[in-house]
Amino acid sequence: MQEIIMPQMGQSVEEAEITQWLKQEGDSVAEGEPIFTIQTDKAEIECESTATGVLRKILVPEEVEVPVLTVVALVGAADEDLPDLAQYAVGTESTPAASPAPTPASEAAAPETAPAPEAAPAAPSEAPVPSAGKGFASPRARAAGKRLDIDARALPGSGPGGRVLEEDVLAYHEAQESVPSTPSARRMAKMEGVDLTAVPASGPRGHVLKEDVRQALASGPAAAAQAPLPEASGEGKVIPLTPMRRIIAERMVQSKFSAPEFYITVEVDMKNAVAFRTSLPHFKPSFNDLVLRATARAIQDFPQVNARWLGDAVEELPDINIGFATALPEGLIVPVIKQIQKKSLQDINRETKELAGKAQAGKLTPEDYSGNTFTVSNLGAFGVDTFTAIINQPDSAILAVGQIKDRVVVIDGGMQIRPIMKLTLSSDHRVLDGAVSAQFMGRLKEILENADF
Amino acid sequence: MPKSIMVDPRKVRKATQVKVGAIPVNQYKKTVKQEIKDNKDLSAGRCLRIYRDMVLIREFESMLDSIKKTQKYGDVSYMHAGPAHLSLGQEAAAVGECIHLGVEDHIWGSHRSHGEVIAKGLRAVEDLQGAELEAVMTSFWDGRVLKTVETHEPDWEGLKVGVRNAFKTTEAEERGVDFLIYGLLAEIFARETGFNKGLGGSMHVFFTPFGIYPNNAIVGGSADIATGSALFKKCQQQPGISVANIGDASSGCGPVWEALGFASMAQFKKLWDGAYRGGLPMLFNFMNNFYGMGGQPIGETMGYDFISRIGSGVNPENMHAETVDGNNPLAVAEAYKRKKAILLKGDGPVLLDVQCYRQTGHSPSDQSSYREREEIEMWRKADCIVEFGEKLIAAGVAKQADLDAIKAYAERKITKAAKLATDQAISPYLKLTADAGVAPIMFSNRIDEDLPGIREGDVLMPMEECPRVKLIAKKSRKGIAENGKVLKGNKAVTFGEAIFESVLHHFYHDSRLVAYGEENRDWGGAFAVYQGLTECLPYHRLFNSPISEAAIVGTGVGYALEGGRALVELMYCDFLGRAGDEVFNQMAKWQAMSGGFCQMPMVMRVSVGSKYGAQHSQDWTTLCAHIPGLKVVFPATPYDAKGMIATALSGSDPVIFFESQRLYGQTETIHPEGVPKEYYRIPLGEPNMVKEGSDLTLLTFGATLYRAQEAVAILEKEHGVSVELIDGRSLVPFNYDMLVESVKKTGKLILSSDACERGSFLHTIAGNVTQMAFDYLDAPPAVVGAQNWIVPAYEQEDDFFPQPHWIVDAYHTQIKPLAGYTPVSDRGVEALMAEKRFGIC
Ligand SMILES: Cc1ncc(C[n+]2csc(CCOP(=O)(O)OP(=O)(O)O)c2C)c(N)n1
Ligand SMILES: [Mg+2]
Repeated sequence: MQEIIMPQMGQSVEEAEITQWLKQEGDSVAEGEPIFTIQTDKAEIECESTATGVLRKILVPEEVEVPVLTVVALVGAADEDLPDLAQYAVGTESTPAASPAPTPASEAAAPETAPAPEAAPAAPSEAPVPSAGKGFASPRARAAGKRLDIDARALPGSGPGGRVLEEDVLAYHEAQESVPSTPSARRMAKMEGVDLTAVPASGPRGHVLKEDVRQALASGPAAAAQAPLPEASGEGKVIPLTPMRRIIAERMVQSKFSAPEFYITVEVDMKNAVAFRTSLPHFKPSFNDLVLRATARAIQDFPQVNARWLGDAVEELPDINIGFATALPEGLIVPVIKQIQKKSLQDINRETKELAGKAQAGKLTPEDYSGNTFTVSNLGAFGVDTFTAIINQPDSAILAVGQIKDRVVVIDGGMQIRPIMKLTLSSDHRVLDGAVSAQFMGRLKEILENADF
Repeated sequence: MPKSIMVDPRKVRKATQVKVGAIPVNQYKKTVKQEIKDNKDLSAGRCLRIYRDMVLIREFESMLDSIKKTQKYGDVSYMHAGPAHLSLGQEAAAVGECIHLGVEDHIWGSHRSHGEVIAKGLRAVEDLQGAELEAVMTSFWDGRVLKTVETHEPDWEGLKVGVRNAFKTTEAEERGVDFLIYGLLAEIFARETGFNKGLGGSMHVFFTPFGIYPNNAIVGGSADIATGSALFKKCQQQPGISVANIGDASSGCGPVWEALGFASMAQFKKLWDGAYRGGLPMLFNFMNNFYGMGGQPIGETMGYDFISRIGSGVNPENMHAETVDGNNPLAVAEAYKRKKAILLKGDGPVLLDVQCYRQTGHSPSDQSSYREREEIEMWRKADCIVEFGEKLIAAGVAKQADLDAIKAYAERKITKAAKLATDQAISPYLKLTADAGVAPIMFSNRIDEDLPGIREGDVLMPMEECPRVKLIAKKSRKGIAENGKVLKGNKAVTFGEAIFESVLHHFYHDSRLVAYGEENRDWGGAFAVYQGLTECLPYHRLFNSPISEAAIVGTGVGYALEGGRALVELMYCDFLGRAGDEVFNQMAKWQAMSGGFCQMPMVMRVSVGSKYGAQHSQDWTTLCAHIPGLKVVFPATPYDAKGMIATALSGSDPVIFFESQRLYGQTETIHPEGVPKEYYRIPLGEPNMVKEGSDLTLLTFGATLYRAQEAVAILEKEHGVSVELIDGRSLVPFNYDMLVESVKKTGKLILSSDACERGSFLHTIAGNVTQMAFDYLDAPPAVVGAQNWIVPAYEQEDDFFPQPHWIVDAYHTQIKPLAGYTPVSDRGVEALMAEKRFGIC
């Protein structure tokens, strides 16, 4: 019997949901043949079977989000005995309480009544209780923490004054490892410094799920510091978060609270650009393509804009990868044109079309929407004159593009009507200073106004 | 005290008088003419030589004076920031002294000794010229000094002066003169091509192949060291005498008086046997220029009218003391001739008061605010060179033109040396880096794997017949019996006996070895470590010294610098202060200050006391470990003590060998194999793993080890903390490998010793380990030292010295709180800070 697992699609993907099984139990399936489609944080992807035989058991039904690398199906010979299915129950995660409980993958995997989470393994009774740390950890403890991916300073310590010792980290690690939990729950707990032994488990057979960790976080001391979240009033329609919605929320909050932004707006006279666009014999780029092309050229003159904040340094990146925000019914996605500095306007035109099409069809791969170094967001199509966008980290700046509209402008002392477009750059002040951003915008304006594509 | 000297009350109580005979002052009366006629040693040529030597010194010092004051000498421009204590006006004293000194006579000097270096050097060049001189010059620093004066402006044109050309120099001699002047000046200017690679400098420069031994910037420092040199000549039956050139004001220094006493010990003439009987060939030469820096010994800072009077307080011969006219080279030479004969006859020591006058300041910056211009003028009128020149002309030995030729010659010689020694390309500085320059010569690290053997008369009986050897033979070599019982010192070999065994071995295999200190003979040292040695060894190998800690150590330094092997003893560590300079500035420094040319095979045994309170119980290992140039060891078990003293006595470096009085009766309970009967060596600097463990590293030095063992028992049995116990054994050198490996394993470190916590060497180790293994540390290294108080009475010592529970407390409060444990002392950070504020902790 061979296991089919939920594939890891891109680095940041932790969990995915099978949107559709393309084969049913009893169907035969060959290695390389599409077997199900999944919805990740950002896109829908077709997954191929990694085994040949009969699809004997579907372990994860459609529309249930499971951590990547979870076994989702078993493929084997038609007459082979099925193994004990209980072992595969681990990865199933319940959806939030507000939505109807999903159908369990199988009877065998039906969650048992979740046992009360076990208390942290009791330290030898006579040992002094580690006191809540003041955030001090010995160098050795910190080294162990680094090795095990644990923030030692967040742990209670058994040294003098609550100093965290190596043994505290090791004990914590052992305790965490011994708590039945899903891989994504463990990852989140580690990242956020949540003690799994103290998280009530709601998963099958006492497993702590990622949702449990999230809730522990929300109710933990860290959450308390933030504004309290409102309770559902019961009158409105409660819409459960899609993975994409959740990701957008997390990213935007993170960006807004970490990057000190400032904004610069310029008006661009698009007269020459309009003429240029219609003068091309073989293809007709969109205005957005022109903006992308011009932006790429301006960035080449101001590579500081194409940089990321490393905490203790700033890294200027060699390749210019511009993402362009694309609205979807369920949220938004930012496909990326890689190495745009090497591409012609025609290439850009072709690629934006291709990527936009894939985005609308939910066919973008994680590769398509990662690696951005700069982002352009264009709301011109919605009749917006000017707006400010939130930086799409790890970028250091984002360009917000408004509509092109005829306006009266004064030129050489006389009134004239010109197609005007307003561009607003949001810059991360840790990386960029006003003067650089202003010069960059000046150059961008110049390129567009001279139609120097 | 030897039994042969009866203290008879009838004699002691008899009425009598101490008679102090006359001490001659300025009795020399001869003219140059008379000398040339009567004295076969004083030809006309010799007199011209004397004149040349004085003029060379005058020119040399004038050159330095000019460079210091104007940054110029002729065409040479140079800024010299370092010292230049000049002897302008004192040339006759220096040259007169050296007329009768051979290469085998060794002079030791002061901060003001350029003149003596030149005078003695010129004399040696004259004596050695030919193959011997060439061999010295071509081998010294691989011929580098010689090559410098050969390659650049070689000018070997000899002098030919005097009536009937009475004084001529050869090319060979002129090469030697240039070698000498340049080697000296390059050293003064701190150049790698100097006699001591620039590591000695003006106040310390020396060149032993010419019999010129270290000059000392510590006033009076040469008195006891030179005495050690004379001791070496006596004990090793070497030719020649030793001279300490020290200033008049140094007669106020304690170690100078200690040296006078040491050199005059009655035992040399009364108790030492056979060829060894007789006074030390030691001459104390006070260069009496009537001033310290500004203070005046005669009439102001001392009580004597003549320095020579001191002799009458030292021995019945008044030390053959005499005051001579140091302004007249012939007067000094005549005195030296007579005194040297006394010394070689075995009737030393001798004290000479050589009156002279320093015409310029103490150093070129000195404004001479302490003396009348008139006084300086009077002495300038009596200038020794002018006066002697006039006498030469009067005696018909030279014409003015000869004297002028000598002056021109001196200018030529000094100009050449000045040009070369100030030229950075020709005379570079030694590169000083972490592993080049001084670093590799701080220690010479030689081990004599094979000892040279002994001479006839060096021992009094076969080793096996030594009664103590027979006694020890009956004892168990192990401190723990088969049945696990710890054996007492009456049943098993003790710490003291273990040291005795190695020392005895060395006495029977190395004739260079001498041992002395207070009550070392008969008594065997206050703690009887040498008990039984008196029966085996004649006086010249083991003797009692006066209670003169400075001289005990200082003579050891001189003895070792001469190539001997000195084993000296300080009865208590607390007496170390009395020998502070000798330990910290002399014993520690001369290997490196010689540029790596000399070695210091010297071991100083020091016992660390207890029971006797504040001035008899201190562990001062830290003080010694702080001083670069000393090896500092502190074994704690018989096995280690025996092996480590053997290594110390086989090595070429100065070793301070600490022994705890608590341990002299200790049997071997740490090393299960016991104390081997055979001779063996344990390398210095390697700590010993007493016991392995996994949770805590505990490092100790000295007797604290045994209290640490008790702490280990508490920690392991009552608290389940597994302890790795390491005995440091040696502070300097210290191989960190074992300790760092251990800390990497355990993450936790406690260090303990009986030294006061403040500034303890343990903090140095703790700091180093923190650097070497920071990421492995699970807690800060905790130092458990003695209190920063005076040591209290025996009954209260447990409140002062680290106790087992202090170590447990340190673990509990500084590393990890122990379940159900109540600390006995408060070792927390706040208590620590409060005490420090008060100056206690
Ligand atoms: C132990 C010590 N104390 C003080 C000094 C500072 N010092 C250097 S030379 C000197 C005067 C020494 O006088 P003296 O011994 O007569 O020698 P002189 O300088 O007259 O040749 C003093 C006080 C020193 N170098 N060493
Ligand atoms: Mg003087």
